[in-house]
Amino acid sequence: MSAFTVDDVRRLAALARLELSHDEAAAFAQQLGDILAFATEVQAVDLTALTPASTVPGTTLPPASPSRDDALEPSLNRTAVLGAASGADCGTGVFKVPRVING
Amino acid sequence: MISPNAQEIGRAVCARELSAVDVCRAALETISSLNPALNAFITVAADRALARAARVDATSDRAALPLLGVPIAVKDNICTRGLHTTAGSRVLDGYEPPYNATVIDRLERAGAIVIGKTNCDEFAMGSSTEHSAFGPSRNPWAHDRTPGGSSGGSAVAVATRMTPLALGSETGGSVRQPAALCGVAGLKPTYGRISRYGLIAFSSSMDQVGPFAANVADLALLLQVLAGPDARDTTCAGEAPPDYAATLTDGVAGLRIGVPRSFLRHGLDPGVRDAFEVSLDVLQTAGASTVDIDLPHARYATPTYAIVAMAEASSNLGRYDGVRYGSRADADTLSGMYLGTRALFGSEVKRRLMLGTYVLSGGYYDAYYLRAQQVRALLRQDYDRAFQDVDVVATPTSPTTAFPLGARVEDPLQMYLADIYTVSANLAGLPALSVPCGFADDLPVGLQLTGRAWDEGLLLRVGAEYERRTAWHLRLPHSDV
Repeated sequence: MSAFTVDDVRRLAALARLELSHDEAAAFAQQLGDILAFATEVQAVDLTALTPASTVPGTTLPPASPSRDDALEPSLNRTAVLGAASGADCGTGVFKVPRVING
Repeated sequence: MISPNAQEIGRAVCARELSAVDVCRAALETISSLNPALNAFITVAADRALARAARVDATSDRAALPLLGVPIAVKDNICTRGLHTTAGSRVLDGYEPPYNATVIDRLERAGAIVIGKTNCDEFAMGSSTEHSAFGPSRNPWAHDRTPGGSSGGSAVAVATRMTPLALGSETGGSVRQPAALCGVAGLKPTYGRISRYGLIAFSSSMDQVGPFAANVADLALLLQVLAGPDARDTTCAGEAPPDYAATLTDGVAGLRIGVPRSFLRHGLDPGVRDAFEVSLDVLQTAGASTVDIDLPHARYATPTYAIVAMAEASSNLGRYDGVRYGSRADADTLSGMYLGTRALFGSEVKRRLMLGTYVLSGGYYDAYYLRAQQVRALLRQDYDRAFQDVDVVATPTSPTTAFPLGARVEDPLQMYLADIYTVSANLAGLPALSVPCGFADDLPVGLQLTGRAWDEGLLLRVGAEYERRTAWHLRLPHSDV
């Protein structure tokens, strides 16, 4: 028995901005349940040996310089950046999108 | 087929014994001959590569360029300015980045020629390259088998000597596992060793660019070019890398190799086990000793990895909304555009985005994501404790040889188990190397060596010694398989 119903999957999909067909939602309900049951194994681990930390394990060296002067530096070519978008207006430098309000 | 030896190509081009254009043409001919059956490349940039090779040939100042004229294949989740970059996804089909990843700039400054972009599981999520939107790649040792993943295309390119070098990326074994399944060398560097600027993000606390090569000396050469500080990646180490070539011939006498035997008890293919044990014998003959070690939390590595990777992916892939780059669905409303655009994701990506969203959501964050990060810290403690007694940790890279196409693609849990020996290094941020160590049922087997943080030099030294005593890395798949 999966931890997820089809309605659960649809709610998750909505949170993730995904639209699923009925067949997809049904298939995912079982698969997500199986994967979650597997992932739940982490809850069996005894944490008493753990000391609190503020960094992700593995990031052991600091960067070359944690900050730089707040000075203008060259950046990406604006035309090239806007050119990668389907709805950009190079004249005004905006990315155009469909209606937002009541959308 | 060109020489498999990148160092030799670079030397010959520098000495004008070979022209970069001739080397490039030879690589393109091999690609043209083999790629239709193997689907290693999504994009072959023939004109661009030949133009660059011509510029290399016209350059008079060439002495300090270690990869002069060397063709290299690049996984398609690494941004290349003006060159189609898809991350194996329809969401980015047609995308041409306005910038190079740092690793691409470094390759080109070293004289290398980017010859094309290789196939991969969509957004690097997978272990077989079957989740690419551009069709699966095929294992050159058996065309009905996967090459592994997610960097399957790059592994195939090197295994067939289409190119002597390739770039892949690692999040959970996506360089080492395809390297093992295709019979080539592959390295996951320490987290922070190589800049992630321009590497399309999957799981930002684990992602790393990783090199492929036909031999360890070339791997060391490529790592030397790629590694080093980058102000554009604040997780990149601030110290310059050591000279990896300087210690390659130092041998393994006196080195202690830890083997977590209790962790290797389950699910390991007998043929893979046999090849692994023989590889340990080789290293012991060379003067190393083996020590049984315990990594008590290694059995939780795969579920831990699943949670962390999915959570971080759900955050990273939120940027694919059709607004600024990539595919855009036609819609009357913004939300309709988001949904239509993101409907282009494949099923594996959708699964991970939904579960990642779940484990980060209110009421579940502590039980899953926080708990996984805590288990991750315990796993790193296991390794730190082990490295007080040993210098490297050895396991097989993959529990099986290459599995059949289609065998696991609809069974995500079975697919995740392909990474059971690789994910620990990603979670712990440690470097790990895979080198060919034999065959089982005529399919390649990989030996994995994991080291202390920043100790890539030692891993490469052990790998080089192993190559000197064996010939697995010299075998080539038959072209008519």
